[in-house]
Amino acid sequence: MSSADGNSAAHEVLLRADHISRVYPDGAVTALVDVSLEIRRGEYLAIMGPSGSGKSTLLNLLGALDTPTSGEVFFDGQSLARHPDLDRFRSEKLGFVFQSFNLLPTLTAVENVQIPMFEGRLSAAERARKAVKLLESVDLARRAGHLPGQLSVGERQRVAIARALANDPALLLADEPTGNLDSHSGEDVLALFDRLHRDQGMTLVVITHSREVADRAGRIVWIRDGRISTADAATSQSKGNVPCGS
Amino acid sequence: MRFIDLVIRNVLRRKVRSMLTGIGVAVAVATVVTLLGVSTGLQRSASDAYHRHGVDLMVVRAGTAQRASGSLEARVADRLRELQGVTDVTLSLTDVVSLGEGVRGVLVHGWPAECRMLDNLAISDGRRLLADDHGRVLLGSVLAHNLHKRVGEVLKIELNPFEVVGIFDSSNVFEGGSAVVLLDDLQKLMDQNGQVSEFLVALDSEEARSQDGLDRLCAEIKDLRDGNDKPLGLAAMPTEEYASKSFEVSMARAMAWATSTIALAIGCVGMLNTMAMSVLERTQEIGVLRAIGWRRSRIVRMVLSEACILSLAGAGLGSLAAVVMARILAAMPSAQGALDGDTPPSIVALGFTAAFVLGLAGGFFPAIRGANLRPTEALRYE
Repeated sequence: MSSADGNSAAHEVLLRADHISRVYPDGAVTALVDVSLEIRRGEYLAIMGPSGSGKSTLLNLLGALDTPTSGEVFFDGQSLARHPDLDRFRSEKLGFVFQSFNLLPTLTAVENVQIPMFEGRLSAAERARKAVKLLESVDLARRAGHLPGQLSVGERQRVAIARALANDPALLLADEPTGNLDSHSGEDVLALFDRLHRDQGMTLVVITHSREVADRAGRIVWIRDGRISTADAATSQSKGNVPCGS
Repeated sequence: MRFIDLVIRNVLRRKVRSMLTGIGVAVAVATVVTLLGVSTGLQRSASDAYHRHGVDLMVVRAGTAQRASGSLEARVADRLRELQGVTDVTLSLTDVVSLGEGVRGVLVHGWPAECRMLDNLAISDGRRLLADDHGRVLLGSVLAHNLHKRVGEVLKIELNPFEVVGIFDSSNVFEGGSAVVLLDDLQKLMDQNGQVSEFLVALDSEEARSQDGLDRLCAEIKDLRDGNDKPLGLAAMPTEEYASKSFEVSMARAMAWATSTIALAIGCVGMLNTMAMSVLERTQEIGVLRAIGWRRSRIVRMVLSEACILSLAGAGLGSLAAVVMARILAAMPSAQGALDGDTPPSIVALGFTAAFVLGLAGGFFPAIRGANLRPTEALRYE
């Protein structure tokens, strides 16, 4: 691949939402209305908005956890609506970080990190080795044998991030990742995101209420009443859209 | 970490609940293994009792459900002796009687004085029956023990006094719990002069004992006709088949299966409840697993594996309890030596199989429910 090709690959669209809407079956709630959005490979995007604005619905649709009522989501140019195996897609291409960490309470940190790898082809020993490396990458190797209940909330979220990275995803989706953390732990998590973005060129989409968190991203998208807020588009653009690590 | 490690951790998460569910399965499996073990032991004992005397075929009145209920003309034995492959035919009349002192349902055989059955009895005390031993009886050692009778003492059979002239040992509990009198005596006692309830047929060669040989002979016996060309109404079957089809064994087996089925159904409902609760409690967790890419099939496998581990643990405990229980039952006087207390490995294997199926059945709906959870809804579940 030539350098020109490499640059274009770095800037190519990884994920595209094309006029997607989500109406819940009872018909009473329209969570998302005609949203279009492009996320480029290596981009660090924050989605901001008040409670009930449709942020999480958008994340669910982008993460193939839900399907839009109308419109389509494309990943690497392929429509998710026509994807033959969304479970495999999520397992191989996406990493999820949740506000409440959602670690399995009976498993140690290193075992929790191995959970997504069960769908892959690694042996038990290979899974364990990789999980230890991932915990090292989030500075938690010394806590590998601890249960979630024995870890601080910040440590739990870092374990959850290591778990999200288990299958080397192309895109990391984080839903209020610092929402349950104190400021110090929150800063650790954000620093970790910065590092993933800067050093590994990881594509990140972070949902947040917090302007402080959003400001770490390369681009901010505002969402209000289920729509991308045009009033904030200028803000989004002004932050630029240049992926790091490319 | 292996997948099975995760499954075991999930089972151990709620120790008390898992233990109680396992005990429920153990009770069901213990019931299955004990009852089916008893009925199988009964069948084996009945079959062995004839085999030990070299009896290969049993001939009875066609269509009779209970051996004492059918009667045959004793002279039919001559027709049987003419058949190719037959070396000996013993006339036998069998009745089930009560002997007082709480001893009920005892088998009493009436045999001619000169027959291979009497020749083969291992007399441990006294002597065998002779041709003029009318009003005399031989007792199996287990029966003698239960009745507290010794040689020289008198026993009343259907109000008629019989002197005990000998006691015979038998490793076969079916035989050891029976009594033997002369055929004439039992015919008079049952008011069935000239009648027998079965013919015990011995064959002369391995070829005759082969499946083909047995099938051929059974067909020939079935087709036997009298002087007026009317069917004699006989049914012949190998001893194992006869034992398995006997009324007592069939009843025992039917009762065992009926009770076992109820016990397994109760165990299955317990398992269903436990696994349904377990899946409900872990709704959010399952949502996370689905979100990070676990397939529905893996969720199903996880829940079913948990159910099967619980079931198999219960099966182990239940089988152990069944082995102990069978021995206790066999040792009880009321069993009257009809049970041998052995639990065949095949029945234990059946118990484990039943437990495995119970686990699959009890875990199936919770597993499907868990697998069909929508990740977005499961993640919101509180």
